[in-house]
Amino acid sequence: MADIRRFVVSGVGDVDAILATLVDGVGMRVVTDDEFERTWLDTEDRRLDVDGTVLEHRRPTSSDRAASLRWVADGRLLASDDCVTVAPPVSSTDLPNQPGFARLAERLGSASLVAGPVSMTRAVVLALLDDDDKTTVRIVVDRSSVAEAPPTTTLEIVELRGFADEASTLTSTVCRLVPLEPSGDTVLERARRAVATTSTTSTSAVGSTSGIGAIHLDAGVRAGAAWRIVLRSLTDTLVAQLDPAIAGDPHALHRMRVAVRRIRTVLTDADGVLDDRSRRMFRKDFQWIGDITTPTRDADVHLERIPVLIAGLAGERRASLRPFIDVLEIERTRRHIAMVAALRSERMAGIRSEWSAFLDDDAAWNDRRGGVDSTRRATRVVAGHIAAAHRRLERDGRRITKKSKPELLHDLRKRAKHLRYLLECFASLFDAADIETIVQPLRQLQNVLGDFQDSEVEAAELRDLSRSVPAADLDEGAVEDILSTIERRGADARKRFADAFGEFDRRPIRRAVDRLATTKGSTR
Amino acid sequence: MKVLATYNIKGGVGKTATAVNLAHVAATQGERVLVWDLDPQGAATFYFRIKPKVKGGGKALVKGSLELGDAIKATDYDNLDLVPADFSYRHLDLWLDDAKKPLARIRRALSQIADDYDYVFLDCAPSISLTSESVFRAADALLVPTIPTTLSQRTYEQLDRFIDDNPDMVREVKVLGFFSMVDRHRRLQRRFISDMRAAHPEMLEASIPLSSDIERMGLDRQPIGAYGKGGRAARAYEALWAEVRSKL
Repeated sequence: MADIRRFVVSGVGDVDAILATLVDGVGMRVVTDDEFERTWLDTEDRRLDVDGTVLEHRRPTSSDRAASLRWVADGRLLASDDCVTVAPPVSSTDLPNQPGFARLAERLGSASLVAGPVSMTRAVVLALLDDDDKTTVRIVVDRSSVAEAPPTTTLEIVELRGFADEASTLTSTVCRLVPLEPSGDTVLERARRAVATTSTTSTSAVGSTSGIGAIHLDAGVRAGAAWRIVLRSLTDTLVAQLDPAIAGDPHALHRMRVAVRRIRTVLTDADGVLDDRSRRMFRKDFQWIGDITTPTRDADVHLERIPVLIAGLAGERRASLRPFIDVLEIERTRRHIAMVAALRSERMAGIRSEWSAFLDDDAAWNDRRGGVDSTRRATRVVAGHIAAAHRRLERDGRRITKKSKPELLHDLRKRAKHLRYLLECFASLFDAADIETIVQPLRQLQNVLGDFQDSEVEAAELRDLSRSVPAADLDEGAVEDILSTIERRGADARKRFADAFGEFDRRPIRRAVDRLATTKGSTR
Repeated sequence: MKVLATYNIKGGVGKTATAVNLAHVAATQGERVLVWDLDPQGAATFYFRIKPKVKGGGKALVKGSLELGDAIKATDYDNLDLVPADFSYRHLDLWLDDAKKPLARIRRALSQIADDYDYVFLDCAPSISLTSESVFRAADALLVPTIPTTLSQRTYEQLDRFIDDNPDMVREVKVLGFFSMVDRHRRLQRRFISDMRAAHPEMLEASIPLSSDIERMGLDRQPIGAYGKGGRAARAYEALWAEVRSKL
């Protein structure tokens, strides 16, 4: 619908001066002139980025205006509305109640929204009008400051369909009057780079993920110390989420489980850093913690997704699913009770105590016996593990064909998670741009694999649970409708696998992995 | 892509207001929408402030020498574009008559942009002609605004009979009639609506009130959702759109 020409304003980038030129010199009209704090939002696995869409929360600096949410794709507005709350939404249930956002809710599923870069922005929209007061070209002047980076002023000329000549003429005129340099970057891409280059502790350009705090490791840190710092940080996250998860907060449970998976990944690759016995023992313990929380998490996901799944059904059909939803809620309660009992058990208390003691034991992290050498430079050790994980992922991904069994994709997902957790937990040892180069397509791949596996699991479990509904109360047709929607999502994800893996299995990513091995501190 | 045609043999019943306002509602909900103003009067084009001109005229579109995509103009509203009217459309019937497979011409033109839009609204001239038959062939649904009067009921039933009598021509088009310009204070209208619903239970539940807000469209040259959001008439169009969508 709209073609956009992007420029960066050279020099000071004084917005008022630019506006004066465009209004007085070119004859444009100011349509809106707003100042706001803008937060970009996405899921942890950046599924909106994968889709090529952008979600922004805008909180005006003037208190008499409501915060708003905008969902955009390639300059096309997909949905826009005022927000009920001042703070950015965290999940699909926080989205404005309008059809445009219903599509976003479906895309998010049960995934939480995490805050990405934040900018302080002044954005001015101007219109070039014809003699009927019809807009023929739009210009957006945006002055944003992100993190500690100096503010940047950008100018976008939006060509409207059918008015190409007007856009070309205006572009020539504006380029003569305003000092501009062409730029291929969107404001978001620029903001991400600003965050990545001004922060030495960020683990990802879209901000912290699932509650993981930024973990800072010095370049020369030894492996034992690095592993200890990372595992302490992950443990802190886990502990912080424990009570809220026990109290029934599904987001806290999710963050806790991600911390557990990361701990297991980091322990797996502590081979040669920690003694094998401790490594295996604690990996088993954290496996157990993951297992006791899985049923509740699955039930949370079912209940979070149900409103989205049934949104497309007619009113009577939705109402007929009430008995089924009741069964899901009862099952969730039952699982939660079982999970809480396990989390409050002596076994859990024992794990926490032993693990805490292990983290505090200096000797365990400075070991040089029996094949263990925790005094090697962490950068070298981590780079080696990342390279190995990357090779395995590439190798296994290339073996997958259209006829491959689902289990191979499920296994590949585990490999992708493993690599990603390594990259994120130890990111501060390496160049942020290299990490981002690898993580971005990896996230897309994970997203596709996640959609595929989650759809299978979800459909199977919901089908199973529907059998608990008394036959007289069960609307089989409505349940089948929901299951069909889930299965279509899974089939769609399966189709997207080849492209997503293709984006990952490329030379720039391999080069970035290779560069990690040559990072300062990665060689003795 | 779904194609909806606002159609009635009678003029002045709210066809253009329906096309423009429903298209705007759909666009604000993130749908990609195109309005094709097929009426040489060019009212929809006027509302969107676009010049009523198509390069090569309607003939070029019908003959295929101009791709429909090249005639499209963006309106001032996100996700909403227009194929403008052109005064030459008064000759559409003649060109269609000249062409091979005349009834398929509009559908064929629309197929060129099928991937670009979710909904297309065809704003038709009030007539029964080769052009309207070509529209029936192209459309998934006919939106038939009906003023609650005896004569309107007559023309509605005429259309219904025509559709029934010509299954090959109209294929599977849905006829979605709804009441337009409803004055709820007039007892005679209320009674008429009740009687017509009894005779035609397929009439949509949503109706559009008689409202000066809607008449203001001609002054403001905007869809009602752009200046009257939250008002009774704007809400009526939103409700109508929700019901139309559910039928498609």
